[in-house]
Parts: sequence; structure tokens; C-alpha cells
Amino acid sequence: MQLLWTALGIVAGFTVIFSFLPQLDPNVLTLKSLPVLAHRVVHEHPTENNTTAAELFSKVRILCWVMTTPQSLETKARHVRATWARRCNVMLFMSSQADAAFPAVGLGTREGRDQLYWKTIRAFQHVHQHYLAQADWFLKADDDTFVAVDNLRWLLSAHAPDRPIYFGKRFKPFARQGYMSGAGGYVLSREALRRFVAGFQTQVCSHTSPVEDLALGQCMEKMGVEAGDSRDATGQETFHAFPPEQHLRGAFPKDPSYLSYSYYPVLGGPQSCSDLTISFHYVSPEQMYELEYFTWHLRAYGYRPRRQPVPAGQTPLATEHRGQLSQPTPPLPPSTGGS
Amino acid sequence: MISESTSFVKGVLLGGIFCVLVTFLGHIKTGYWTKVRHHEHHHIQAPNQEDVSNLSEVERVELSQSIRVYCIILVKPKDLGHWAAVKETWSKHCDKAEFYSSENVKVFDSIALNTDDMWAMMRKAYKLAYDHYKDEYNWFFLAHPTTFAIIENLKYFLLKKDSSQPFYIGHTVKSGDLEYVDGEGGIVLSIESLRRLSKVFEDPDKCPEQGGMIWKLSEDKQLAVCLKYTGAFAENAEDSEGKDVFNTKSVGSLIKEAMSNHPQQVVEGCCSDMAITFNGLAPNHMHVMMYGVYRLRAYGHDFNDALIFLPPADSDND
Repeated sequence: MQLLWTALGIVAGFTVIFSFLPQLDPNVLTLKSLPVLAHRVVHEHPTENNTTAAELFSKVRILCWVMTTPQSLETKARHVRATWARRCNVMLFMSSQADAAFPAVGLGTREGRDQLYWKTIRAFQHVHQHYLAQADWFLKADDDTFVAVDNLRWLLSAHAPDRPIYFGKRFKPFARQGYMSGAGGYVLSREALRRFVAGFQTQVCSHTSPVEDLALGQCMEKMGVEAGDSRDATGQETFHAFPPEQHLRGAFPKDPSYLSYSYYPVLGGPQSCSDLTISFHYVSPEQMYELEYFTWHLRAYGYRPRRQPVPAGQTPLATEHRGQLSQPTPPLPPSTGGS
Repeated sequence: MISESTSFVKGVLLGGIFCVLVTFLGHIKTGYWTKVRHHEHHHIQAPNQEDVSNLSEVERVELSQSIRVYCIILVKPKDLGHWAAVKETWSKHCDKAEFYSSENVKVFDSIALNTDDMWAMMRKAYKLAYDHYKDEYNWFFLAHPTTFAIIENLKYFLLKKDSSQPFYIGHTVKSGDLEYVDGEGGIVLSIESLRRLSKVFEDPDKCPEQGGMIWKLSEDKQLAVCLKYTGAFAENAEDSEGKDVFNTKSVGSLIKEAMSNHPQQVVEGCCSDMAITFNGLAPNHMHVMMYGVYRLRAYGHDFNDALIFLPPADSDND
């Protein structure tokens, strides 16, 4: 009789543990417990040295807020959350309605193209109110924008956050110093954010138009915030309003005005994109993962890049030197010398 | 009652512990990734970091230069768009790349084979490559124009492999008794395999020109049959985590599959960091891949690599 009970116990014990085991599986445990909004740079590859990236993570703190909607949380924003978002110091999703599970901040606006500037104003006010001390730079992106956050830190490392300046893909019409394309993402220094919010408090700035990027650009100009030059030392653009294929293959059939709007001369082919590109736009969910793979994972082993960037923290080349080709990668010293 | 419930509880504990033991033992033996893939191929792996970290600077330079890859790309006039893309992109990173075409094409230089049968093209191309280049290259990579290859990663993969051994490497498929390298993912032969292949080409029983006896085999299967007679067997290439490095699909396709199969770990689960080939790319995608592989990178991540490769001359998209 006791033996029977023991046997029954064995079966019961085995079955219960078996059904619970997937949750204890070390591999699955890692997947599920990986925090969705991990704030650390993960040391991913055994031969990789992340020291510089990790130093920049603490020196150049970036708050990223992504413009999204209740309808596109699960179709678009979640792929941003699964990819580049993890690399920001603070990550926020801004929607008209709050969503505790995602999580998304509710801005209390309606949805629609005519609400974009309202959402932007409310989002920056929210960020200013709650996060001003937590970051040095404040990035706005769309839920179909890809951002190489490490490269954004590289660009910003040469500028002080208490300087009133903002960066993005620069357009020239409608404002004396031009304005930054909303689609390609733009980033404000802490001082620029202060001035933007102050502008609305003092009514120097107001909701002049629903065209978010232009209206913001005009407010920036009124508040004395400089429109920065985000190109790399060889004059190649880092922020982009389109996906990589359109820039690299030089096709802008849907938007011929792009060429005339662009503040700097539009370069075609390989010159259209810096090696240290910061953003692409109109990126599909699948391409979001593809760009993540290209930026942080896939590489050509042992390859010395043709173009070496100016190291982080150094002043970008003065304007008169732009347009000159970068130094080619120096030839290897024969048999001796550094790695 | 009490003794019965004690027995039951003892049983539950025993059963639970037994289950945990069995499952963890199973994991230790097979690992996570190979559990998912149920196959019985020969596997061949990329070198581990420990294999390479002890090399001196001089050894690294010498090693990089000692792995010489000759690329054969089989093309037909209908492939002009892809042909152009391959010419302008990855093939510049081969030590030498030549296009073997079914017929002469005015627009591009190529070696005309005067046949459009794929097996005949393959035979002729391999024969010509061996005859002309057997003393100059130690590895021979054959691809279709829809394939994108990262030659540096191929060289790293071949780093500690002796080319005087009969290697026949790629993305393998098992078809009945025959294990062959799928041509869509690219085919790698060591000089020794190519030497043996050249010889067996002269044997019409083992390696007929017309292809299969009863029905026509695809050219990649036919190649495997011929090589098998010479003692060269197909091996599937994997990275140190067991992921395939030769891919018969594009990055986009593999990402899409990963998005539906394991949506919580799309990039981590999709493709190797040391991938060598992808296939099924449109010409414009090849240019995007060129940018993605050789140029776009995240600042502040440095690598202590065992090999050193410089950008090719007369090129600006890498």
C-alpha cells in the first residue's frame, strides 16, 4: 500500500516539475528575464572590447522618446523596444493614451497628423518635468526610425550639454538657420530643451502649425538654439530621412523636394551615408532587426575600415576643412607596431 | 493514513528530483542550439578565440596573407543585374574573382564556357580554375550571382584548416544517402579537393559529363557524387555557437523567420556574427549589405582580431 502511494507520488512529482521546468530552463530563463529596457550596454561578444562604448554610455547620457500611437504600439514600437531602444540611458514611448504594460506615456492628445506638434510639445514638457536631471541629451524619433545610439554618443561627445544646440537631418527652407527633419530624428541638448519649454511658458513659442519639425525649428530659432551640423569629418550625413537603399542607390522619386530642401549638398552613392550613421527612417519592422544586425553584430573579421572617424570628444573639423577626403587608413607598419 | 501520505510525499520528492536531473543532463549534453536542429551531418567549426589569441603580430599578418581565395561566379546573360552588383561589391574582396559565363557578353569581361547547362558550366569552370591557378590559390569559392559573400569571414573560418586536405565545405543538405553542399549558399573547395576533382572528371563512370544516370541530378548534387568518389565529403560550416555561416537565404528572409519563430530574440537567434554567405539578394540589396558589412558600425566597440585585412584599392563602397 505504501509502495503504491510512493509510486503515485513519483509520477505526480515528475509531472509537476516537468510542466514547470521550461520556466527554470537556463536558456529560457535568460530570454525572459532580460529586462526589456536594459540600461546597460551588454558585453556581447567574447573578442569584443566595449570599453569606449561603455565610457560614453555614462559620459553622454541620452534620453530617447519615440513618437507612437495606441494602434502602432504592437506593430511598430515594439520592434524599436526590442532593438536600439535598449541602448539609450532612458527610453520612453509617447502615445496619446497611456499603456502601463508596454509601457507608454499618455500625452492626453488626440491622434492624427495634425496632432504631431501637440504631441511633441507635450512630450518634451513631460520629459523636462520628470527627467531633466537624468540625461544630457534628448532624442525624438518615430516608431519607424532606426537609431545607432552609440554613434549618436560619438557625435554629441564633442559638445557640451549646457550649450543651446540641436542636431538632426538639416533642411534649409522656412527658417533662417534651417530646421531638423522630424522623420530622421533630432536631438536637443539639455539647454535646448530648457529653452524650448521656457519658450512655451513665456509664449514666445506657441502651436504655430501642425508641421512638427518646422514649427519646432522655428521655436528653436526664436529661443537662440543653434541648428548644428551633424555631418562627419568628411562631410557625410549621419541623420537620414529615408531607408539605406534609397540613399545608397540615390533614388528619391517619391520626394523630389528632398534634394532642394536639404541644407547641405546631397551626395549620392556611398558618400550619402557616413560609416557612423545615426539614423534611418521609413524602416520596416524587419529592417529594424536587419539594421541592428549590421550595426552591432555582423562584421568582416579583421577588416580595417577605410575611413577612421575623429575620436570621440574631439572638436569636429572646422568648416573650411569639410569636403576634403578623410585620411586613408594608414598602411600597416612592417611586422612591428601596435595591434 | 500518515504513513501513506509520507510515502506519497517521498514519492513526489523523488519524482521531482529525478525529472530535474534528467532534464539538466540532457541540456548539458546537447546544448540549446543543437537540440533545435536535428541532423546528422559532418560539422566543421570556425576557430575559437583561444585558438587564435596566442598569435603574434607577425604571425597574424603572415596568416592573413597565406589564405588565398579564388572566386568563381557562374553567370548567364539573364543575370546581368546581379552580375553587375557582384562585380561592384563583395567580389572585390576575393584575392581574385572571375566570372564564368554561359556565353560571351559584351558588357562585362568573362570567361565564356559555351554551354548553359549548369553542371557542364561547373565542370568547365573548375577545370579551368585548377589548370590556371593551382599554384596561386589554396581555396576555391564558387557562387551564384544572387549570393553575397564576406570573404574575410571565409578566411577566418579557414584559418587553421590545412588546404592540402580534401575540404568541401558549405551549407549541407542530406538527400537520401548523399550529403551535398547546397550551391545557393556557396561552395568552398581546398586545393586538394580541386586536384582530386580534376582527376575524377576524367572518369566517365564515376563522374559523367552528362549528369545523373537515370534522371538528371542538380549540379551541386552531381559535384558531391564526384567528390565522394575521391574521398572528399561535404561538411556543414558552423560558428562557435553552432549557427550556420553559409546561408541559402537572405538576411531579410531569415529575420522574418526569426520574427515568427522566436520573436523575443530575433537578431540573437537569426544569424551568425561571422556569417560568410547570404543568398537571394536583389542587386540593390547587395549594395546595402556592402555598406552594412564593411562600413556601418557602432562606435566604441573594438575587436582584437587575429587577422588583418585592408580595404581593396580602387573601391569606395567599403
